[in-house]
Amino acid sequence: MTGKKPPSRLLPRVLLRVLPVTGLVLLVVLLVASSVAKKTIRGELQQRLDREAAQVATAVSLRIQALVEAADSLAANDLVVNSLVDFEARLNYIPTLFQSIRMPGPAGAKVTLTDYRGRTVTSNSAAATYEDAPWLSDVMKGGRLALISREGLLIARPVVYSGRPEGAVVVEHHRDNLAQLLDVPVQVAAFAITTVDHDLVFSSADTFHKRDAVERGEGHDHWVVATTSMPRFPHLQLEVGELEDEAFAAFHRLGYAMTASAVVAVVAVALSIVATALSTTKPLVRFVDGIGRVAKAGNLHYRMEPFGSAEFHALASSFNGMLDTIDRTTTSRDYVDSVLNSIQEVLVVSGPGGDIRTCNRATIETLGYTLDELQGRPIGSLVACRKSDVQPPEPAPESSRRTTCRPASCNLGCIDLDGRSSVEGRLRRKDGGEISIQISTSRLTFGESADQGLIFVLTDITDRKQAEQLLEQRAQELARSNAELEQFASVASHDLQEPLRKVQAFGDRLRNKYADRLDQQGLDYLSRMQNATGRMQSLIQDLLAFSRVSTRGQPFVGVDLGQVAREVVFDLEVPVQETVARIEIDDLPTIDADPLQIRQLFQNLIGNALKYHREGVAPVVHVTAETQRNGHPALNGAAAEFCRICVADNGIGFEAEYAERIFGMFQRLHGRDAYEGTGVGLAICRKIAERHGGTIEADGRPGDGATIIVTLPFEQFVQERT
Amino acid sequence: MRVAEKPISILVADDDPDDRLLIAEALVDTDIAEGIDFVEDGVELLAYLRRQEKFAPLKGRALPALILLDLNMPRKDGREVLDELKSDPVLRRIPVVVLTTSNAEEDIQRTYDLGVSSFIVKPVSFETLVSTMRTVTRYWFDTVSLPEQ
Repeated sequence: MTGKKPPSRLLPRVLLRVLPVTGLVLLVVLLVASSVAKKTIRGELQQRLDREAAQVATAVSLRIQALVEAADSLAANDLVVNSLVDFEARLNYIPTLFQSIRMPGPAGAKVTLTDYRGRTVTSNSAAATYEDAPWLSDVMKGGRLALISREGLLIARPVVYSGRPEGAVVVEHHRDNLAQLLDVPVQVAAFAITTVDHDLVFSSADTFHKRDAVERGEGHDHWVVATTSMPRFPHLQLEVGELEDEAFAAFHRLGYAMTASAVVAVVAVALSIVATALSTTKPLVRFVDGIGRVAKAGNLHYRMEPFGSAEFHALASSFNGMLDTIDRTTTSRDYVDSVLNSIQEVLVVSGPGGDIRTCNRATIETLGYTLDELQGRPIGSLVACRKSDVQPPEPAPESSRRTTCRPASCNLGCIDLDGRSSVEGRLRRKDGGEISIQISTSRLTFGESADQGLIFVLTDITDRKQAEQLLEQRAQELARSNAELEQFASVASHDLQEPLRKVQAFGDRLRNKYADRLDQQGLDYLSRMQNATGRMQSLIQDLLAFSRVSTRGQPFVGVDLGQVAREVVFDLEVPVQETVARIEIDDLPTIDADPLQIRQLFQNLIGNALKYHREGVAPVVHVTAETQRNGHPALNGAAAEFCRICVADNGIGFEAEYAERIFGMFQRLHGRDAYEGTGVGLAICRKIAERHGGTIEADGRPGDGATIIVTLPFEQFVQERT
Repeated sequence: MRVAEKPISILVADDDPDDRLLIAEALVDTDIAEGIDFVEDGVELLAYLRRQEKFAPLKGRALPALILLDLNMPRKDGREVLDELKSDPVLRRIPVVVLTTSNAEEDIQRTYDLGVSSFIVKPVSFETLVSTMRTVTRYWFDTVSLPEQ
């Protein structure tokens, strides 16, 4: 295997591996079978030819023997014998006999009777003389001759009289008749008779005896030949032959058939392989498709249809079982994706190094990047965070700190990667715009590894920031407006006091110098005018006192509330004695406060308790304190200890509906002739309480006393700006 | 009872004509009718003391034994005047009593820092003003000894 070459498909691989082997095996089998068959056929043929040769030889011999015996019986015929010695007979009968004689075999045989010198006695044909025949003497000695040659067949038999050969009967068949003569039934294509020297005597087929020439390459017939000796003709031999083409015709047909079968077999094997491969790969392809749906698309609800062989059924069943388990025990990617995409905030998952892995739809919509563009990007290239207005993180224990993951690419040094953190920052969009965001980071941990990456949740806080800015602006405006109001109140009070003082002074002058010149009504007008100026002065002084709560506040120091309360009671000695009041002061704690203002607070509250006593009932004022935990404004609402001070009396009380109103500026519940005062005292108390980060409230019922509850923090964490 | 040899000479600096009238009347009620001069602002005050401009004819007359100084005046206010007086080697010896409507703590501290002799908030009623004037004149002209001019 070299490199990353893609793996080849199953079907071509199987075909390439199986088909050549199958073909080769079939070829070898064919070759061996054909060789063996050829050998066998040839052997059988040879044996048959051998047998045939023997039979043909016998048949030919018998045929010749019959001719010989016919010649023998003619030579032994009495008439023929006697004719040799009886001239009469020789002249009268014998020629006739020979003229009419019909020898076995084909017609046309030349039959001749000779004397002992070979002279023709008679013959059925002319010109037959055997006087110089080489064989005559042999026959005259009693030998019997049967001679087959190219010239034909010649049979010579001695005619014996009184034990002495006196002549001979010669039967001669012309060579043209040999074919007819030797026409024996044979089971072979051809046969031939030759001499032992291979001189051809007879051949039943032209091509057969020319085969030597054929073998020399001049013809085109191949012969299979068997040779045997001829009985009674030792100088002759018989050859039988079959045409090789004919003998192997069946074999060749068989060969074609086998070759065709082999081809068919190879094709069949190929087809079977294709079929098998397809039946194997088709389920596999479906499996791959199914696994792909689960693995890539994350569709855990997919179930595979059972199909194919039993093994695939089992596989599909196992696969579905596995999906059931996974589906039951895990949440699918679809589920996670839909959850993530439903989140309105920008949510980014990065690797431990800050490289973005994935994000939700809101990220893509907010940033304008595609997911592909975001993946792999360092988060630091999108997010910049400010190190500000972050609550100081509680120092983490040394053991929990990790030294890993501080890569430069993260570029978010302000984020505490050791755990959850939350800071404000800015997010850069693709179009260059920036958004104010809240960055919440947490470490992604699951499975074996503790450091799987980071999750960033980026909340768009543009609106919040704008609102904060607006709020800050409003707060500043309000502070400035308040300061101006206080300034105004202060300045106005001074400047208002000035003419008022004149009115009073000249009123005094008028009364002192000219009282005797005014009548009763004039004096009454004068005193009303002076009363009015007195009230006006009270109002102005109270207004000034109210404005000074914030403008002339002193720094917070430890103040012993009990001591201040007792000093106030001492100052109020005159009204206490006038009303025969009893003032009970419990143990009061020491708190951070402005001592003068606390003094004013107690003065106003205890003074009110004395002032609003019931007619004929000695006032009883009870000052108590208890500790409770409230949200402290200086700690962004974090809980702190507060001192709850109650000043309760048994005076005239008030309607519950006025519980809030009595703290307003110049708010009074009674007529001036009933109770003197400007209605500023409780407003000052409220302002003092609020300056200390505390609250004030009132509780009371008509005729059943009133309780003013002041709640002040024990500790002042920030000194007020002065 | 007054020591006859000791001539009473008081300079009152106040921009408010009503106040000048009231102070004058109060001093009359205190049996002091002579030796009282009035100026209306800080510039006039210094000119008076230095016998300059319209006060040039006063040259040769003795300087006032006591100055009643209002703090809030036009052109040159009491604080500036006080600062200049106390820098002057001759004028610094004249006792200055601040008589003002302000009762602000910072004014009190500031003027004492500058060397004022007393700080009196203007009384509201005329009777109080008369008694205050009586107290002041008794104190400065009957009780304490002032440097010879």
